[in-house]
Amino acid sequence: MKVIAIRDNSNSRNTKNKIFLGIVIFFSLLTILPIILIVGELVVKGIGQINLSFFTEVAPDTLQAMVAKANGETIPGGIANGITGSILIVVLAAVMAIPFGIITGIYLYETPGKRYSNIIRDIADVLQGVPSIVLGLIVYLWVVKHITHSYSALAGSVSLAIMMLPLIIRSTEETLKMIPGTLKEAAVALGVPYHKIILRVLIPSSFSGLLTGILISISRILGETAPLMLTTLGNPRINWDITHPTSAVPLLIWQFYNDPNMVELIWSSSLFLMGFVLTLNIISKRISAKHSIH
Amino acid sequence: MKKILILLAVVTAFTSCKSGSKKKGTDEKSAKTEISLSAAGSTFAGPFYKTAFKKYFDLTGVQTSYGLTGSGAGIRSLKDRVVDFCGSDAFLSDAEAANMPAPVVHVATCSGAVDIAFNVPGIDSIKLDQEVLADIFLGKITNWNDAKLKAINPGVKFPDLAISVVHRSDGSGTTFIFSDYMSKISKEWKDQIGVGKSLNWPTGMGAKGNPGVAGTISSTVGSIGYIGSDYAFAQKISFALVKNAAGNYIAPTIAAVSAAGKGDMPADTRIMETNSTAPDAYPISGFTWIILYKEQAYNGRSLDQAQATVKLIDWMLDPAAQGIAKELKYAPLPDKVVQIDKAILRTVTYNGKPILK
Repeated sequence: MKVIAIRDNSNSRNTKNKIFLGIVIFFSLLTILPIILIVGELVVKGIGQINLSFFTEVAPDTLQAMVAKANGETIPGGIANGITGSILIVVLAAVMAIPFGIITGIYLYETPGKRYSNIIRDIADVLQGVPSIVLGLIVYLWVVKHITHSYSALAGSVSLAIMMLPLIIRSTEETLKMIPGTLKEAAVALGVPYHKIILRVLIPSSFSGLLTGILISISRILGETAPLMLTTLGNPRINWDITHPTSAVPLLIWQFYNDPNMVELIWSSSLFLMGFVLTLNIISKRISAKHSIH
Repeated sequence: MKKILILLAVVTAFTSCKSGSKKKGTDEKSAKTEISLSAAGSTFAGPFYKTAFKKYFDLTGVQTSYGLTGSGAGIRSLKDRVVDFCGSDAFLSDAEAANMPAPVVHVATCSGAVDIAFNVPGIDSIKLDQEVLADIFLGKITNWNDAKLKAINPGVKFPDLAISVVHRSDGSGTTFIFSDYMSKISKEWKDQIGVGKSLNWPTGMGAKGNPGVAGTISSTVGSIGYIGSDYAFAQKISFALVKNAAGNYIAPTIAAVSAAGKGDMPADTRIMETNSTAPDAYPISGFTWIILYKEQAYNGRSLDQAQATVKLIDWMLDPAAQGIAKELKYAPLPDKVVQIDKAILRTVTYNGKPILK
């Protein structure tokens, strides 16, 4: 009885299939809708402020913004102090986090199931869940209060480096796991010393994966504001001294938000930050697609 | 291995060259770029400080970073000695000052008004007396067509619209000034709610920061709240005329705020100027202060650093800087207060010796 019913309904199964396909496509589109709306809104509101001086000049003061607004002009100045500050802080954070992250990742890959590697893996996972504002507070106590005795770029990069670490560790471990075991066995069979296996075989053949992990962790920390508010303070000028307060793009957005005369600059700065992070993400996707292990 | 060594050598040579040339560059204009100061605190006075510090950099080359952390966090940073000075809209009480690691001094820099901003379609201006103001924020008057409101606003046609009170959700010097005033005019407020940077509100909704309250008011029909006057000016939000102690309805103009600051000033500048008795004073006004340590030799700070700090604050009292305050809708300091401030700055020392002559 049942069998006959199914046979008779092969047409209705096709329709059901189509309905479900439609639902799946609809919900998928719904998921990507926010990103399209966000980017659209940012472009519409922010593009008017973006010009050459946006990248070459420092943030304006309230008076300049007020005068420009009263005359109906675009607000002068740009976010050069934020861009250079972000670069300084992120590069420092990367310099601190990458060696530790990759070496720890290699250790986790080389000693799976050992007691210490399990503990380290768990700690890395817990570290990933620590809220960024808590990291800001801790680094305030460690670095701002006791090392630089001042808000500083160094403190900001320490807090961001701690955020980067778990991402790099886990992505390194996962990437190395994907390398065929035969590659390592071949090297061992040829009598290659162990450190050379790591340096000449493991790292080069997983290079794209490592780079992807690093780029993703950088784009993850690029927009962080909370830890920077507690550690780098902001700076009205371009600053390359790591022991001094330094600005960053997310900090500038917060500052513009707090000043009624500069709200227009929020949109252009957000557009820039969003574009930067998106570009990094796309680059990392490209790299991992191009250099995937054959 | 050899390759790596050569590479390392090249890199070291390159970086040492670079840092060498950099040093030369800074030596040439050493006096101009060496000193940089940092400060944090009040968001209320933030636009004034940032603009003034930038002007001071153009004049002298002393660079100041000011972080908009809020008054409370600014004082915390000063206590931890990670900033050169902090900005605050509320002065330290004797107990709070005793809690600091060393004696501090307060220097009043300008004053500002807290506007009662509102959003009722078709109405640009209303009058509020002490009783109605207290009743609205205590949640006793809940509709715009209340008889008490109508009585003091003859000629204004109020709609039948519920009042939504908007207040700050974060700790704030603006709340401190507002609640200080409310405690002075309403016994019920004083007993139930009191004075503070963050309060237990009987009614209404909270919003974060002055921008948050300003945004909530402009987007909520029937709302009323208190914001720093520069936000109401910049975003063109309607504000109420408030009845002062002398019985006049006053708008929060620069002149009216200045009038409130002309009263008696104690030698340490720690005074609230709310509910001033001057006939043309706006009653919800307050000073904002820079707070710094009286003894500047701490944490290995150099004499240059201490001198730059004190000279910057001294310059903030000059007509040039006070003019910037006025352009940004803050009330400049009366001459009498400037004299008191300057006397206070002369008591600031480095290793026991006064910094300013």
